[in-house]
Amino acid sequence: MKNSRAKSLQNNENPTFKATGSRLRIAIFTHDTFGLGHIRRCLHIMNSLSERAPQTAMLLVTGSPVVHTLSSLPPHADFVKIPTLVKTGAQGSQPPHLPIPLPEVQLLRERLIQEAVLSFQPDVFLVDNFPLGAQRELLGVLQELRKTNTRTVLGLRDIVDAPDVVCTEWTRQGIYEILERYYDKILVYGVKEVLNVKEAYNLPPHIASKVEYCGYVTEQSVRRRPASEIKKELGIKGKFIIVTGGGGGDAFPLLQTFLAATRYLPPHVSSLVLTGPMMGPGDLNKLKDLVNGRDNVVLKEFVKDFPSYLAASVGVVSMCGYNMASEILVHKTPAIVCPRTWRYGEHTKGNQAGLEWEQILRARALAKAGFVDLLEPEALKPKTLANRIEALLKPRRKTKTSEVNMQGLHRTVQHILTLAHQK
Amino acid sequence: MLTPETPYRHNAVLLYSHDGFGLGHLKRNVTIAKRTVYDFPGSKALLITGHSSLPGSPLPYGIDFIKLPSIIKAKTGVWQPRSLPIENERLCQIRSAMILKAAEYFVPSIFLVDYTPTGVWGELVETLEMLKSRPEPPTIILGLRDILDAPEVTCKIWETEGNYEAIRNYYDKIFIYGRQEIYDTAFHYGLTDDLSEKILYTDYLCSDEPCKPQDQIREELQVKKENLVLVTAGGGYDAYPMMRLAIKALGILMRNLSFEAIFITGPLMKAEHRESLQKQAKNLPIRILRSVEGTLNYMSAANLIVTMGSYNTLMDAVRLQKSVIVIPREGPSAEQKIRAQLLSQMGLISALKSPALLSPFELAESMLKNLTQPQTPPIFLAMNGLTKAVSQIGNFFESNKQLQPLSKI
Repeated sequence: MKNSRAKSLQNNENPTFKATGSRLRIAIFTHDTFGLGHIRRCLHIMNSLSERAPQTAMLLVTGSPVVHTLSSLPPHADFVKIPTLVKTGAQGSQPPHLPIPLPEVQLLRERLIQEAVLSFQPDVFLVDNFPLGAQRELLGVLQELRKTNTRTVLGLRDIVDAPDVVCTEWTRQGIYEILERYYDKILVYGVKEVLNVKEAYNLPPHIASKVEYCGYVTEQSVRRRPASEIKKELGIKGKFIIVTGGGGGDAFPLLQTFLAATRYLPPHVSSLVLTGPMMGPGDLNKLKDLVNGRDNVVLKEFVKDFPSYLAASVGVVSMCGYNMASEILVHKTPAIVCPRTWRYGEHTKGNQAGLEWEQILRARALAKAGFVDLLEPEALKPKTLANRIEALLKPRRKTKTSEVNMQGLHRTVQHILTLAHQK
Repeated sequence: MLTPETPYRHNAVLLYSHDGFGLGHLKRNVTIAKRTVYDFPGSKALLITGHSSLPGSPLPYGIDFIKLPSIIKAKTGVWQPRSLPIENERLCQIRSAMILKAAEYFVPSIFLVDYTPTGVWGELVETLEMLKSRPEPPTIILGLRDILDAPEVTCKIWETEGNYEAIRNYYDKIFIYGRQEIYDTAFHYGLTDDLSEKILYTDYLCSDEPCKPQDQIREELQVKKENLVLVTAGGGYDAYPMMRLAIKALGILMRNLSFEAIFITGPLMKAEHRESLQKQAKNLPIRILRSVEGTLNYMSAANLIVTMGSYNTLMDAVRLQKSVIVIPREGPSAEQKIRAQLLSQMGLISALKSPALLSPFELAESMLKNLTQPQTPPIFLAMNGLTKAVSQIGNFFESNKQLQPLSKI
């Protein structure tokens, strides 16, 4: 620690920030996304780190334009935002958000990440899901960190994409070499029963030995509000089901079908439609019109403590993004999952813009393991959905969950702390 | 979207504002950035801030922002990390390196720095040095609001921090968002002699967002009473004493007058303070809101605005020609007291004492007077600042444009 130079930054009078020699520093990078999933997962990890090692300084680096709208960071944590590359939902916005040629924005982003992380000198640098970031923006910082003591960790979602797609992409982008040279650990936020990462992604032994399965990562320590309070707030008397598409940016097709399906359901079953904060105003207004005048359907754009609502409901109809799947598994809520197959944010073009396998593979794996009921995309019709919902509402066996599912966050943080102390 | 014909495609504005107290500096820069990309198609703006909430978002296409790790002003001239438990030195290193890279790779044609010529901890010096040594250096502008602090305090700090030297060496222009006849900013803060030629008084600057007519917004807000009092203080980080006082005063006013009140606590007020206000306001016709979209509309609905003396809120209120009661911040900065005094002498507002010295009765009395005998302001303040500042930015664009190769895109 270079304490001598600190004096030049006059009047460092806050004693709590002085003796920092033994504190841990952890930097986390998550690429910008159209949805909220990656950032929420990072926040869960930061919150848990903050509980386990309260003195840790944590810096989240991201280009996501929504980071500041999420619930506040734990104490001792801060974030850095770099120029955004993804669509932001704002009218007329296109990636990048600035009218500069893409390579220039990428260079700007790369350099900003590099400066932020290298100056922070973290004990551990955790990268979410994409080993090089979305556009190779991490290459520079990873190379530089190799010359330091910083431990590097890649946190992989349970399913990245279809195995052959991942293998092809990783070969094309030279990711295997990156994993070999620049990463100390690969934490899988999933379970082997759903996907055996080593086999699926064809990892050679020296990379495979870096892999640890953590289980599904989701918020655990939240206080649940009682069902009675939730129902009172929603103005719902009896049972209700939730329909949600997570962040909501591409949830319109599912929510629309669901609203049509509810016409076939008995009237005493109420519904809570969660559009998500990322839904575009056009889609949102259409849904509002559809809900208008129906007293057993409540529409909300966003709820703060989703798990409380989940616990109060009798079941959920959702897409099959990572966070939603995790919530369903951890809370053991009866669920019908309707995975998307279109590419991120391309719901208006449907599969025309190309297929994405992540959700459907997750949904199939979870359905096979008996955790959820799967509705394949081509079966997503109002009548079929209504039948499935009716089946879901019947008394049934308990949803299966393995013990490992509950421990994801705990194990992830444990691995990070162990690495940090090994330095 | 961009074609070779897009006229201002080479023009980029980089805007820096520090993130000590309040959102005012950032809000002003956001206002200028929005108007610039609107007036000059194809131009772009990148804001640098340490604030985690960005007023006026979502930002339109053409504007993005970089958020640095946050710092907080402990007292005048003393800064520390807001939440990261790391040394000042390390935090400064992260911030200054990020600013430098932003300037290097964004290649601004204009660098607009709000308030602090060298940035917090001198974090801008390296960047200013680098920009100045470019073959085609950008126009570097310092933006100052009318009143900074008590002149002797500011001058002393500026001397110690080397700000005069920095202005002399790096800055091409100083925008003063005010009017010389009302407050001679340059004179009071020692921006004289060779520095005076850099100075441009832009007139007072306020946002140009439209606001709804009073009747319409009153209906939307379901205001039933004739008298609507709005209590607001920008970000609200130190607004609690003022708002507590206002609740007490409104409790007294109830005996004389029928009214409704809306409090906007601001996003920076501590949650426990907001909750406490909610309790105190129980049984009174008061709504307490955290933050709202379009504060201006709420102002438009009101016939009396009670606020502290911050630049932006005051300018918005004056622009709408509302009755205004100002309860200025006691300190550490004398800025609000000076401004309140000045505008009150001009008959534009009623300036009262700072919260600790003011009794609820005095405030209630002033409220009663303002509501029952509203005065038409004797003069109009020149509120052209945004237009003037942005058209000046446009002039710099024009002169830079000729230097750029047209085939670059």
